[in-house]
Amino acid sequence: MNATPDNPRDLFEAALALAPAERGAWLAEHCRDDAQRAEVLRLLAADADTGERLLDEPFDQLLGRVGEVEAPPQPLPHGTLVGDYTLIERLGEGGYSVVYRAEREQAGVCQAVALKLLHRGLHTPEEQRRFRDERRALAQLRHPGIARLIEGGVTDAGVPYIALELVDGEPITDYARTHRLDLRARLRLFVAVCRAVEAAHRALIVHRDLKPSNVLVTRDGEVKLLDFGIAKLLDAGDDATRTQRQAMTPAYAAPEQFALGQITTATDVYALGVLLGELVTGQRRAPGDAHTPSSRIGEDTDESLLPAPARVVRRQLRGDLDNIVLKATAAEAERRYASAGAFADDVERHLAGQPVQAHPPSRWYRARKFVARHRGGVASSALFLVAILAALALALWQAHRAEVQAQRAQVQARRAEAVQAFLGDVFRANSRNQPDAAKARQTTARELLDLGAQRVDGAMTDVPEAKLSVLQLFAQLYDDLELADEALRVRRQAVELARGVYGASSPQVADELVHLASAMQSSRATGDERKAVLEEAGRILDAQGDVDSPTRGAWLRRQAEYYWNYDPPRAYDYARRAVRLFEAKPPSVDLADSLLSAGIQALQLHKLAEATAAFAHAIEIAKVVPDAAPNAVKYYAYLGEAQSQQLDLAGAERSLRAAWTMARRDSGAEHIDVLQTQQRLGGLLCDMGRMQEGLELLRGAKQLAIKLRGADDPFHTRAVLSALGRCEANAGDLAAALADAQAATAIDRKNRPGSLDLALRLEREAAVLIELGRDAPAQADLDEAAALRTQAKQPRGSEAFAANLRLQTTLALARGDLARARERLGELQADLGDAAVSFDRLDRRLLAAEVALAAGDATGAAVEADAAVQAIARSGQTDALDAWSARAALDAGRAALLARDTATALPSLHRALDLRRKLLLPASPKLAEAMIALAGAELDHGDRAAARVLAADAASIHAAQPELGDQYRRPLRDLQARVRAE
Amino acid sequence: MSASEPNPAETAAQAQPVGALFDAVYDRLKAMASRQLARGSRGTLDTTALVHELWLRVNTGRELAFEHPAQFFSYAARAMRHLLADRARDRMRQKAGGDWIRMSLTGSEALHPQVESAEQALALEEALTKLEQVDARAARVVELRWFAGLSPEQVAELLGLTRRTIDRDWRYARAFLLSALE
Repeated sequence: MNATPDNPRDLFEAALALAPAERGAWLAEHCRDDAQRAEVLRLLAADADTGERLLDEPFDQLLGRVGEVEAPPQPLPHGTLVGDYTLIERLGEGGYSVVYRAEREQAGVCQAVALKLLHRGLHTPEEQRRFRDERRALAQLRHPGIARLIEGGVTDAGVPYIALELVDGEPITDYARTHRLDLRARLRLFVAVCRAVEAAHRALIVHRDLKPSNVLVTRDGEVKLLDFGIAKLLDAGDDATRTQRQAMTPAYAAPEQFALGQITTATDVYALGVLLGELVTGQRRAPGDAHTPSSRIGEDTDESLLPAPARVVRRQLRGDLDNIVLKATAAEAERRYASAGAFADDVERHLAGQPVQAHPPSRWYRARKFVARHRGGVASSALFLVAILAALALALWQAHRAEVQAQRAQVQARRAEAVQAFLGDVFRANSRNQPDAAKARQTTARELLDLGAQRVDGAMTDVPEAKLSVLQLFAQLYDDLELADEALRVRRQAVELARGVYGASSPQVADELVHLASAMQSSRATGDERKAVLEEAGRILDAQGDVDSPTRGAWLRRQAEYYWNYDPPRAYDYARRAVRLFEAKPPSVDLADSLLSAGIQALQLHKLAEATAAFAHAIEIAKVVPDAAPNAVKYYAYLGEAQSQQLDLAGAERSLRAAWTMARRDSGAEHIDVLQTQQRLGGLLCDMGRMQEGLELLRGAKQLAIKLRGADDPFHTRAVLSALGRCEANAGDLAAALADAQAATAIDRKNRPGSLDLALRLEREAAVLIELGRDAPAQADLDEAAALRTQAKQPRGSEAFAANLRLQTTLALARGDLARARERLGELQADLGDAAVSFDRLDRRLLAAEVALAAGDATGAAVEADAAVQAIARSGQTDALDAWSARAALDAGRAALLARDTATALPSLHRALDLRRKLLLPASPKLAEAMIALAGAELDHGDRAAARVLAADAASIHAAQPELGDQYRRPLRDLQARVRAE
Repeated sequence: MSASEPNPAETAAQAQPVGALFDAVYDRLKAMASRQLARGSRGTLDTTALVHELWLRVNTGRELAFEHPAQFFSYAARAMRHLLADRARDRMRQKAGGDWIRMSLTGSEALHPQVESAEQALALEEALTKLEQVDARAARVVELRWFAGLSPEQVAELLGLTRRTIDRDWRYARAFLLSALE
């Protein structure tokens, strides 16, 4: 600064460079302007003022002091009555509620509570309903560590309130500080917090706003959590998105709360992780700070906040506790502890000096993610190598932690070497097979995995445990790539190896066997083999006295899946046992999947209400358990199935569309979930009479199944073929229907001989054969299916058998064997008057009408047909039942014709024909059937021209069907004879 | 020279907070502050955390789009400044008519602390506006450091200035504002 400054700032700064005593003189000399000099002096004085001035305190404090001028509701005076409670004093106020201390007298005892009055009223019935639902769920939550919800209600003015247990305590962090708790004491206190949170999670209640002010410790040192689920309750009136946005405290909020993602139990685990970090370091983490707790303790940390001197705490935290906190606060929900209980267990392991589960950020997880991202796609082999190596390093690390003592350094080094040698071999082999380096780089993950799986056989023989880890990894990767047969092959190898390493009756072998059985489910393995595998696993578990391990639970589920085809009641029993086993543990994907199994068995047993409840429960779990979220597609799909069987067709369509949309969103257009949901939605639309839409979806699903799984896939392809065949048959494309139905039957005959699946295929095939007039093969199919059902404990009187009997009736009618038709119909249970409408019941009624028609009993036919019409009208879903309305109208019209009541017959038959024109393909024989009946009525009515046109149209439809049953041909012949005669 | 040091981030940082983007930042921070205050422990706010939280969302592409961090933080800081001024005006409006300030001079003992703080806030706002006219960059530093709660290092990085310059700006601005508040 050579020139003399001429503005206040420069003068000020120049003066600052001088000793305070010299400043006045310097200024007098350099600043001649009196006003300016005075200003600079004021600046210097203000600068020297080191008292706590405005700018020296954080901005927040001034902002906070000014406060927000949201006129808070007028405090209610002492003595105001809210429900049964008398307000005593105001305890505090939040954005959503005012809290009062309140009392009520009950049976002479005065009970003090914390009464929360919500600021906002719940005005719509929907808001009030949600408030009540939430309140009911919360009231059931009883745990000594959770402040209880005593009561809740809505005042006459529409103001909701809740009465909570009044807790006298201080925030856990304050408590730890004021009581100078050491690290172990803090950890033990934290474990108690986790246990309480876990109890709430079991009730599927997520806190969503855990933080020290909600985690109190009473004078007795007991933990009490406040406001569990209140965040959601208070938001009960809001729409879903705002709800999530509101209920959080930034410092403790998980990334999914910022991102407005799904709030799950993992969200609370995250907040617990932040809380643990704060508890052990004495300081709150900055939002989003992903550093280890130990690194947050610096030289300048206030030691009065710490459980011990900084140096000591840093050392205590480094390693396990750092890892535990990082795991709990992982950005991806599925990488955190699976439950608050698992979190507590790990902290307890640390307290007991045992190895903890938490480990440095999981490479295994990244490898799995990587593979999932590149399923089917091209992945550079170098990246894949990195992924696999990383995964293996972790697998080895875990194996190493499992066996604590034995000469581990040496063993591990040997393993690592062996694994590296093996992988090097795999990649060299790839380069050999593919001398063009560019192409070798283009090797897909799948090809590389195949290569690895091929070469693993002779490799790593001297380090069998490591080899087992590798096999498990490969099997998982194949599962992720959805290559069922390959996964199965590797699982078999893993079982063999586990037998050799751990002994044939070890728990490890049982676990591998259960995995193998699971792999068999979606592969080409036979049922007998699966049964043998499950039996062996069961024997091992029994011998171990294992009744409640996750392996036992998985075994129960596999048993249920196995028996579902051979003994549904037994399958249902197994599935429910699995549900009970997992219900005793924190909510998990295993519980949700067990509920799914149980629901499927309940469906099979026609326990529709139980099935619906099970699927709905699974969906609730998927909403709060991150691991279960991806399976929500399945749960919704089956819920749709149950709803459609209960004839809640609109509900079913909603559920299935939700599932289909979810599948396409999460998995892309070409994924097995898309296939399954699309197939179900297509099938439903066909059942609802929306054949064109349904056929389009099902044809797309067939292409997809063949593309993804091959034409003879035992599970998906045959299911979609079967559904498509049924829809084609109903729509009137009989040739295509037969081809698809027979292909489906062939697949089940090969892969599931003797199963109920096969019985269903045979029946569906028979339905097409009947239309085509191939009576003998139809009869043979139905007889075979009947035998299978009887063998699988579905006796002739059961509901599951009824479909077979109805088809037998239809076939007898088609053959003109009235006596037999009557006999089969007689075996079906008659309708109870007020039973809910179902496809089965409608079919039975209309069959009865058709048997009566064949017998010339016009009155009987009219009664049954009319009952069907009434039932459809009662169902409230007339639109979805158009196909049935058409058949009912046709039967009613024919009954009127038989009674020579042309005036009644004509409108009925017109309606039948109109509906069928709308629903069916132009070449459908059922369309011709309606034309023929109407033509007969027109003749009776004397309109020969109309009759002739209809007869000609019907004839051309028949001409387009190379093969058609006589039940269709005969009426046309009769009609044509009549037309000619008149 | 202090007043004429080249400043690469000047354009972004000095861009007037106008238009929808500023409104969006303001609305978000205001809502976040209310929410935090509502549920916060005994009325304390952590606005630094709020600004960083919003930046986290912005930075991960979940909300809004900024060309440069400097733009976001200067908007956020300005938003906080507006928030304080708005609240202070609300407070004054709520408590009394135009006479109130004069009355308060006589009976400051009885003053409601909220109103006293509101007065302070408005005086500060006035002073800061004056500072902007004299030394815009120093005013910017106050916004970023005090209103947005950034550290001097962060401010230096955002404005593309040295830490030493920021410290000097801050010292001058503090003296300027405090002397204006006398």
